[in-house]
Amino acid sequence: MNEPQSEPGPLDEGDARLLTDVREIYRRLDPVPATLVDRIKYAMTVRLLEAEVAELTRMPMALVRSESSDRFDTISFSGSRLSLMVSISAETSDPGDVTAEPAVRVDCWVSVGGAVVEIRPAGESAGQNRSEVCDENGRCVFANVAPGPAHLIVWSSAAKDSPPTMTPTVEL
Amino acid sequence: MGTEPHPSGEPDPRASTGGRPAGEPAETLTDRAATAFAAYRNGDAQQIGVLVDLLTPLLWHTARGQGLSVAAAEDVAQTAWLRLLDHAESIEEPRAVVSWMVTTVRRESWRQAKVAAREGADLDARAEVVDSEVGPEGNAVLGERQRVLWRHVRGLSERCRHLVRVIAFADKPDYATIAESLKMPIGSIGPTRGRCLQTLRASLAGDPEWDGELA
Repeated sequence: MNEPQSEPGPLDEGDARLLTDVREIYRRLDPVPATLVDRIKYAMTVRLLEAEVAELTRMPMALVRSESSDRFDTISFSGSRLSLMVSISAETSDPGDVTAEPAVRVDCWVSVGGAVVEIRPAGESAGQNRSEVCDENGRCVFANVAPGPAHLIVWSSAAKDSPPTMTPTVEL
Repeated sequence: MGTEPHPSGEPDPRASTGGRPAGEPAETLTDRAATAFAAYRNGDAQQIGVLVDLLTPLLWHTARGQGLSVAAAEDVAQTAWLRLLDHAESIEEPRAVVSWMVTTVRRESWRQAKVAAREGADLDARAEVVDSEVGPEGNAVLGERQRVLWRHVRGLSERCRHLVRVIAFADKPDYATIAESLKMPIGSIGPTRGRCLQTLRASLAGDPEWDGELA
């Protein structure tokens, strides 16, 4: 390769275009792994909340939402402080309404009464967190939840004065 | 050199002024990162996620450009972000968060590369493809113009290739600071194009297959 004889000039439009092309080449040849950003955010949330990650103790055949409308998946998690059972079902909407956004209903049962459950969507819906306080039997329901990857965070009391328990990411 | 319009090619979203009056510089990656990081430190926890979205491509290419495998680069990126949580208060100026992260990833990548070399671990197959030649994978995903350019990028020295690769994911006013975080000598890029880009342009100019104009 020839070393240039002249002093490098100021950055110009030609450099900007070359760098745009270089960026596109690396984006294609070596893309950031699809789930990396969500995994980083998950790890940061665990660290920020000093959360305990609950273990999956029972799961359906596949952790992927099926398309059938009568589907009813139940997933169980357990941590050292509490356990959680989650049922995910398709929200029944007017079958004639083609404009309706798909939605799921999430039923939760926590082993501790009065617990607070928060759904934190990952990916596209990130930031649209939903939170419910469970009744004295540990039961609470989320209606009209946007489908997609999310994790659930459970505090054993509304005061949130002790570190929460967090589930792995599941597909709602 | 003239300033002819780009013949084909998509518009660069970063080149847009985002509705600002002409002449006022568009927000750079550093500006946006500083805003998110300052908001996070003021108690808006969501903003750390915005920061992750903004900087992860830059950090990914910083780590991969140092020859790390996919798994090791993922590990380094995650480690650097967790370290930021522990050190967020020690970064005095929010604008410094970009160079803090690039420096952290560069050091951690160097450490991991040394461990991998000592253990005789296989360098990742994909890293080989990316840094030495376009395999069948590359030929399939690159257009003709990109293939020619890629051949010349590959011809650069390892350090120049790393520099060009990383700054391609940032904005012009940030180049000099990022180059410094990569331990490149002052003046390696910004405000001049520096030796690496100069070499790339000279090499392209001598290639009859390169039909892209350079000015």
